[in-house]
Amino acid sequence: MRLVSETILRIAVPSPLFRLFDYLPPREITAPLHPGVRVQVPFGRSRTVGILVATSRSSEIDPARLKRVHAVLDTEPLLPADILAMAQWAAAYYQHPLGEVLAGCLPVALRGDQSAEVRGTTVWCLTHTGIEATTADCTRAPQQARALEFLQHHPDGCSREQLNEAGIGPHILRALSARGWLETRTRAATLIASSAVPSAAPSLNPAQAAAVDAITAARDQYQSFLLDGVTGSGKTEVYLQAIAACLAADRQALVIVPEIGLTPQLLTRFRQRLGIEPAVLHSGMNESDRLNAWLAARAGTARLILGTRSAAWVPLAQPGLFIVDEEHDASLKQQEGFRYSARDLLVWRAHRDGVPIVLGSATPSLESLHNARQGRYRHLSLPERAGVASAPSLRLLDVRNQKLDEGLSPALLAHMRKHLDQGGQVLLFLNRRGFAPTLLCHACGWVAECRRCDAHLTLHQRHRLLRCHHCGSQQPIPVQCPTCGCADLRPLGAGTERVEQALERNFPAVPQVRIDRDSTRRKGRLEDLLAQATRGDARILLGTQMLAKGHHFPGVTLVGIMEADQGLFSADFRAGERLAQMVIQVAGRSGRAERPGEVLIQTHHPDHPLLLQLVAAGYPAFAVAALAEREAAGLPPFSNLALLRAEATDARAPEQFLYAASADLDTRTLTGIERWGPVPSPMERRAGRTRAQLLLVARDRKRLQRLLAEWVPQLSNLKSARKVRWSIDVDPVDLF
Amino acid sequence: MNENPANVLVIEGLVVQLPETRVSPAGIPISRFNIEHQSVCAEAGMSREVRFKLGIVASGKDLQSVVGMLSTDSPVRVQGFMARAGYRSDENRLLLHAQSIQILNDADR
Repeated sequence: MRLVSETILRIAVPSPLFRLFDYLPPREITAPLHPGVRVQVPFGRSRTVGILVATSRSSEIDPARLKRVHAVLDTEPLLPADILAMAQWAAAYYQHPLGEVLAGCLPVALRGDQSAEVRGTTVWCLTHTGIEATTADCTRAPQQARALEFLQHHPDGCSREQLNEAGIGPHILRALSARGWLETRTRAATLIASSAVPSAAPSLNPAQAAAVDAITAARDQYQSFLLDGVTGSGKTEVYLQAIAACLAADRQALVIVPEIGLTPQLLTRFRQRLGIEPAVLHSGMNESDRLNAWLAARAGTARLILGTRSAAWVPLAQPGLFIVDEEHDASLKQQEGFRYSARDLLVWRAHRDGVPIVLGSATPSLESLHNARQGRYRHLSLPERAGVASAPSLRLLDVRNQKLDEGLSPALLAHMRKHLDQGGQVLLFLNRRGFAPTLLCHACGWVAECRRCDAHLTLHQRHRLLRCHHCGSQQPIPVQCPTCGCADLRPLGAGTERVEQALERNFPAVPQVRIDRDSTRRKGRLEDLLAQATRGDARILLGTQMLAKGHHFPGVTLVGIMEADQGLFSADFRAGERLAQMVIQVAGRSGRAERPGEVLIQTHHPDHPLLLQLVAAGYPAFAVAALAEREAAGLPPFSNLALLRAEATDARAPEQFLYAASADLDTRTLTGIERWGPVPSPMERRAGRTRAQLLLVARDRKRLQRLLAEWVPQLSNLKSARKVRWSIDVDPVDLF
Repeated sequence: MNENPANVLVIEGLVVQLPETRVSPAGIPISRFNIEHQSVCAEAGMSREVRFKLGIVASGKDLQSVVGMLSTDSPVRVQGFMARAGYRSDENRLLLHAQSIQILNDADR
């Protein structure tokens, strides 16, 4: 350690190394630099952009050997103290290099040396010819006609997002531009377009009112709330009124949702009810819009920010309230690279910023319920459906020995007929896209398997392809069995594409929509199909989890869950929790209006305790039992996990690395920590790589954290680490 | 034995169950029907009556035109090979996989 006359700048540089790098300030700068500014530094043979984390008077490196920062990119800190602190906490907690954590929390547009200024947005405007054109000019192109009409109603032009929301995709824009009707202009970004007058708030039921009161009473202080409300109980209304109170107190509110798909409908409600335009942050936006929203949040001009996971990192000038919707959703945890939980991060941040945070769900995670029980979170229950809606009734359909028509039992078909005859809509849930999950040779029993994964290929009949749902590889459907040559290859099992055919056969006169990743690939298609479903144009709604998350279909009176059995016998200890959440979430799509809903669950295991309990007593009772089970088994939330994963094309390298990592553990204090493995991953081969894992389980979080902090940063020094791709996942949401 | 042991069967009979046609995922039509065979054959130096039903599989586009013309009681001559009806080991049932199907007119009988 040497004292030097100049200030030493400790810089976080995006690199896989678990350390900061010391630099000297540029010569021309004499004013003190504050943590949070970006600096351009020489790094290795190139230059890179890092963030000043701290200043110091001493360095462990000979000051004569320290390099100087090339340039300071910001005049004031780009990242405020709370975000810097959160990054440091998260880097330590999730065992990820700080430089990468910090780079990742900036909008892409600021990861280089660009200035942190609001950029003009590109808008699409009609040209003079475009304004004068009529839809009669494009009778043979109805999509163009619709786009033309839409743009004629927006004389100031539309942003790409507006056009996307309206279902107008890039190919239509190109077509209109080619006709000389359309051009792009750059408009100075107006950050907050004030919109209509806020509509009146509906009256709250007592539970909602109590929740709003509790949240608003916690103003300017940290408090975590678990808003545990059955579907249809009016959680969103609680959010809205809590947000309104926060905005009225001149504070900003930040709302996180698990998926981009859930933002449009929340946006609409926020606009209508609060009369302001929320700033939106998600990965589907272009860089400059995202930058503008980020800067507006940081400057405090955006009062309400709505975003997905990464929005947990957005700086706020006057934070006042955090909300995490669907807090149980696994997508809130990043599953690659820097594996952080946006929910847990935001709880930490709420504590740091001294603001209340609301975690909302109809099916809270067992972790959050446990925290509520322990008194760490305040439990706010909304036990009743708001308004006139009554709770749906759940029932199991035993399909053993039943003749199934592409997975549909006679009883389910009969109930569907009854509800359709009575004018209701039917929602069928099957979490399996494609035509069939297996293609089998009838003569020899050969099964089409992915060459690169331990998985069957899924038959996609419409696209005439076999696709691997794990690595994405695809191939044409073979005309004959590669083993015996027989042409009689048969699809086995039913995916949504196949069920769709069966439904067309059984209900030829009933309009239906299928909503899954394949049917919604085209831009605007999802919105289109959801609109058909909501308006009631489609009477049978068939879909995967895309259909089950958050969307409201007031006309649905019957929900059929075609297969509940996948989650009953999984190797993952969270499978039961996921299944229960899925069933309740799907069930919640029905009976929102005056008609009570009916939910039928097809199963081959009608005596399974999990299903029986869920149907008889609902999610809270299930959660109580599941928590008791977890406690007995010493699993989260009663223990803490860290999973070391390794993969490589070389089949033996992952285990070699994990054994070396495990041997290294032997030299450390392991009191209170259990080691499971190394073992092959549940799917051992994926995308051509062999995968293995080593799990650490500890009752005491601090002990585990201490061990990880010593152990993980030097794993890359192991010789065997060079042959594998490895990662550490703290609090993993799945063990695959 | 040959490198590729013989597997040829020629048989005549009446169609007793109309063909049902599926299409394989790759687009190959696969038709399945039964014929009833009745004949007099020599055995142990004596003549005897033979009567049985046999399942026929006709795969591929080339056979579709003739399959489309079959009706109940159509007299047919089918030439093909024998193969197991399914992959499960307990299935010892065999089916005749047609390579050619000829509808017989009275002159052929």
